[in-house]
Amino acid sequence: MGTSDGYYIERCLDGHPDDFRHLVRRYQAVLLAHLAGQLGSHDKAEEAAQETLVRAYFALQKLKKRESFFSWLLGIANRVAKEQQRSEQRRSQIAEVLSEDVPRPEMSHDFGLERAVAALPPPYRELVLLRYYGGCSCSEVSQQLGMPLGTVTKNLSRAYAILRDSLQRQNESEVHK
Amino acid sequence: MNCAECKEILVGHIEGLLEDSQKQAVESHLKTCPPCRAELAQITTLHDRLAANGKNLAQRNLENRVLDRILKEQNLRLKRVNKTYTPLQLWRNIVKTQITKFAAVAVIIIVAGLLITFLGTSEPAYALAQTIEASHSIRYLHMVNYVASQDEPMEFWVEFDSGGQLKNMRLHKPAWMEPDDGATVIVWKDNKMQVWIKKKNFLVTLKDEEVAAQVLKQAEQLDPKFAVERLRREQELGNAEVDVEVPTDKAELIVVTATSLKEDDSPFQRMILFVDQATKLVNSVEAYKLEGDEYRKVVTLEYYDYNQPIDAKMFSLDQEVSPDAAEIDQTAQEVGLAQGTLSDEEIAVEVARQFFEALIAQDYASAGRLFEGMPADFIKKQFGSMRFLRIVSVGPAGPHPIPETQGLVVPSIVEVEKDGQISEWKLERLGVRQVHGQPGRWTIFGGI
Repeated sequence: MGTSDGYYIERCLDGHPDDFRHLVRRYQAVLLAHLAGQLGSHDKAEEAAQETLVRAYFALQKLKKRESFFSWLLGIANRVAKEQQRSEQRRSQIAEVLSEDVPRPEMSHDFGLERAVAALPPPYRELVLLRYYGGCSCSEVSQQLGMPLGTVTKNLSRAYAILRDSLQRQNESEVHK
Repeated sequence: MNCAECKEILVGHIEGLLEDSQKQAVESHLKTCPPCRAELAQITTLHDRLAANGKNLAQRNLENRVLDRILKEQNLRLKRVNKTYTPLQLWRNIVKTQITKFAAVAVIIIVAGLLITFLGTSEPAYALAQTIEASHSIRYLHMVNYVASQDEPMEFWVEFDSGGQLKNMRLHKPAWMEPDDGATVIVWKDNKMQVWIKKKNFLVTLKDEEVAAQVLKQAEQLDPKFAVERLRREQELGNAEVDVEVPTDKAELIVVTATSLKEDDSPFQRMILFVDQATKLVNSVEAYKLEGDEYRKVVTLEYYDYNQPIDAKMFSLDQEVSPDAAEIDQTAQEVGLAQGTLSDEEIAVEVARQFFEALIAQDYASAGRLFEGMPADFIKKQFGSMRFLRIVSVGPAGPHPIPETQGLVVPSIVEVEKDGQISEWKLERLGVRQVHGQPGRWTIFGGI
């Protein structure tokens, strides 16, 4: 995984905002996957991911444990997503009053998968996000989450089972429609 | 190996984490067990699907958008006046501000000077004269100057009078320019300059034409009309090659690229001006340094809000500075000693001698007057912890090691008692110079 998050955080705090770029690169897919599943569209996810990263940048000095950047970032993303959903709800209530069409969630090419990932229980979700969207190998995931390698693979196996299950259910409900 | 054992290590198998013996065991089990093969196929499909999705999302380029937003937001934050006040810090640092203040002015002047030296570089087809002319009608201007890798810019707000002369100015110096003081605000108005050091809650008022002239000159140098004039002259002298690109789309900016032809140590070997087609006003300037074969951008100067009237409050610190800020008003008191018939060296030694005598007498008010007009309690805070017993030697005065200070140095030795210990304190860099704005008077300055 190369240079640690902590190093880049240090650089940013030291007045090199450009180095935040590396953290954006590292975590953008994680955030997009995490947020797309929650928000129902890639556009909204992109907006929320940007907002998350900007907020994270300006809050970096509040981050006590540098090695927890990833989980901390997901926490910010969750708050941003909640805020977006709330304002979304308000807008759609107004839209309903005006009896306008409320836009349906945009389906990305693999929105089903992202939705399934977003629905995973948090420990499994972090694992899957890091492994597939954060570009980490299993041993890097084990380092990052402070989890034995055996537990990583075991939990991944469990996560696959849950994912398959929810993808299956999605398919069935599609068929019913 | 049975099916349960196989399933347990299937993920490890896909991830290539198994030891050879385990790997062989899994593979031979898979050969004979269709359900486990099916399981493997399912997991592999999911694995590939996740990997593909991850790859797809990683390709979205958020980087630049996020960085842009961060820079913009930082800019906005800088513009918001900082209303938080921190208590006064070490007095020695405050004293140092006297020197850093001028050192910083010198830095800005150098930067501005460099910018301008190079801007004096040539004349392109769309006629730079149009820009010069357009700029002459400008009364208000907001300039933002990014230097090298620093993220926080220097920022100027200027008001010109109807004759095009600088009337009022406000300058925000970011913390990186003032390692000791932190972010500093300078306001120039009615021939008076005020320097507010926020972090230390310290307000210095100067009526010093010389320092003010330097700051004003710097603001003038960044003034686009002079900048472009300089560029035209350099082109006429053949010192630079100017390339002008006028896009057919009127909404796009004219790009004026000036490249230095001189093989010298010019600070910038290339300048790029972005000029608005409709107004002919400069939108921004980028300065590049040649490093190896590459031009690397080192300075970006952006011009905003042409002729947008600036609120008069911007040119006054009255409402911003905390009421409990420590004020040094050099316009309201006589600072230092009058030179009379003494030579520069003699008066410098005399100021230092009287300063030590005041400390021996614990007359902190007098010592403060001899030290840039510092308030007595600051002097007491700094020197009150020790007793000054006697002067061992003062002088002779010599040139100051930092020429920009335009001062003299008076090496001195005094005997002091601290915590019951008597020792000699050698001051090798005690600086004395003329009081800014008070001709014929001399004061101690800078750090001791």
